[in-house]
Formats: sequence, structure tokens, C-alpha cells
Amino acid sequence: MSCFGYGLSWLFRAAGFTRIYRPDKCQGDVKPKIYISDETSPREKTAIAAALRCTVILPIEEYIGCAAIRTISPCKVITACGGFNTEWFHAALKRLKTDSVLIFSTGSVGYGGAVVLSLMSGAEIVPLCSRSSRRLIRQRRIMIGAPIVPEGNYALSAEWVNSEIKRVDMAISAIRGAEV
Amino acid sequence: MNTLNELRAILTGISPEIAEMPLSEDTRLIDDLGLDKTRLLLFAVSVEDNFDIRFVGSPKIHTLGDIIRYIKNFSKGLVMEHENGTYT
Repeated sequence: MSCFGYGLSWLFRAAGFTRIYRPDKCQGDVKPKIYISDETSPREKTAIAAALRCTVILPIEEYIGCAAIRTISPCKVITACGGFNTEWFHAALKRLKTDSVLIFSTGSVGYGGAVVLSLMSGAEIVPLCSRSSRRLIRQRRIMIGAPIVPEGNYALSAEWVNSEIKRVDMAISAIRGAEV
Repeated sequence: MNTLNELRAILTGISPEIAEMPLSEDTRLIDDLGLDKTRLLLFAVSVEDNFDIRFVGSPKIHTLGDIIRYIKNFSKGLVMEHENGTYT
């Protein structure tokens, strides 16, 4: 149980109460990446976005409908409409030249969108998950897994994309099962 | 090669099982071809790349005929969406 309440959570974020745990492969590499998480809670999504400080791709209905999500700076959000609207996709491709992006598994983008972005941009997919430790002062831990690199000889087919989606799913499950 | 055949080639590259399906302008992308959101995204990006167009706004596209008309209108610089979902 938190002793300090929700109102001071911004203070804890500023004081560095979110810890990011990376495997060795991710250290020292500054190229833009595509982070992907299976987190569903708006509060956790906002905390992860604040900790990573990168662009977030969200379904437009989620961004408009959730006050917690709207605390993310608008200049760091790309909203996706789904269907045949590809504006978010091209905006994300452009943004990946200089900044990493964060995608959550639910909604109109999901793992499939992340895999297609990875194929078209060459950026690595980095799976992550978030945990809150049960201590007097709650600390959030973001566990970052080994990057999933797009292979050179790929085919832009649904079959290949689906096999990559399974790789991402397995990677996130592996992080969730691993102990710190 | 007409536009429908080009769309068939793109769809076959994404989902090989579509090669054997009869396609027409009335073929619905989701109900008839079974495209999920990943395949729809792949298809949309491939069509943009192949025909040098962009899907702008939220176009009401449900059938292959809608895509063919969108491609023609985009080429003429006439893409404009109306309230009833049609575009000219």
C-alpha cells in the first residue's frame, strides 16, 4: 500500500523512483528503437512513457478518452486511427530517424504494427515490461529484454509478420517470468 | 495490367491463399478476404508504395472497388471525403 498517495507520484518520477533494467546487449547503443509492452493500465503506460522519454503511439480513442494518458506531452504522442489511415505509420517512420517509439500491444497498432514498422525502418524491436515493487516507497521497475532484430531476408507477408509477432510475444513472456 | 489484377498481386504477396479466390470490385476486404488489422496495414502500405498514393484522413474503404476509385481520384487530385462516406 502506498503511504504517499497518488498526488505525489510525479515527485517520485522526478526523483528517479523508476528503475530501468537492461540486458548487456542494450547498453551503449543510441540508435532509435521500437519499444513494445503488453501493459494495459493507463497509469502504467504513462509511467513507462515518462521513464523512456520517447514518442508513444496510441490509438486515438484511448488518447482522447483517458485523462491519465493525456498527461503525456502531445508532442511525444502519435495517434493511430486504424483501418486505411496510414498517417500514423508514416509519422512514426519519420520520427524513428531521430527518436525511439513506444507501442503497446492493445489497440489498433499492436505487435503487428510494431513488426511492420521494424521491417520498413530497420529499427530493432525491444520488448519491455513493468513491475511495481511492494516496498514502503513504491518503486517501478522497467525490465527491458534483448532486442529483436529484423532479419535481412524477410518477406513482407502476413505469414512472416505473424512469426515475428510470436517472437515478440515470447520475448515479453520471458521478461515477465525472469527474476531481477 | 489493370488495377484489379495489380491489387490481386499485392494481396497474394501478403496472403498466398487469396491467389485462388475470385476477386471483383465488390469483394469486401474484411468479410470476404478475412484481412485482420496487420494484413490491412500491410496491404495499405503496399498499395501506397505500388501506386504512389497516400491514404489521407479516414477513407471509407471496405471493398476493392473503393480502393480502385480512391486510386483514380487521388491520381486526379480529387480526393475529397463527403459526410455520407463517399468521396469524389
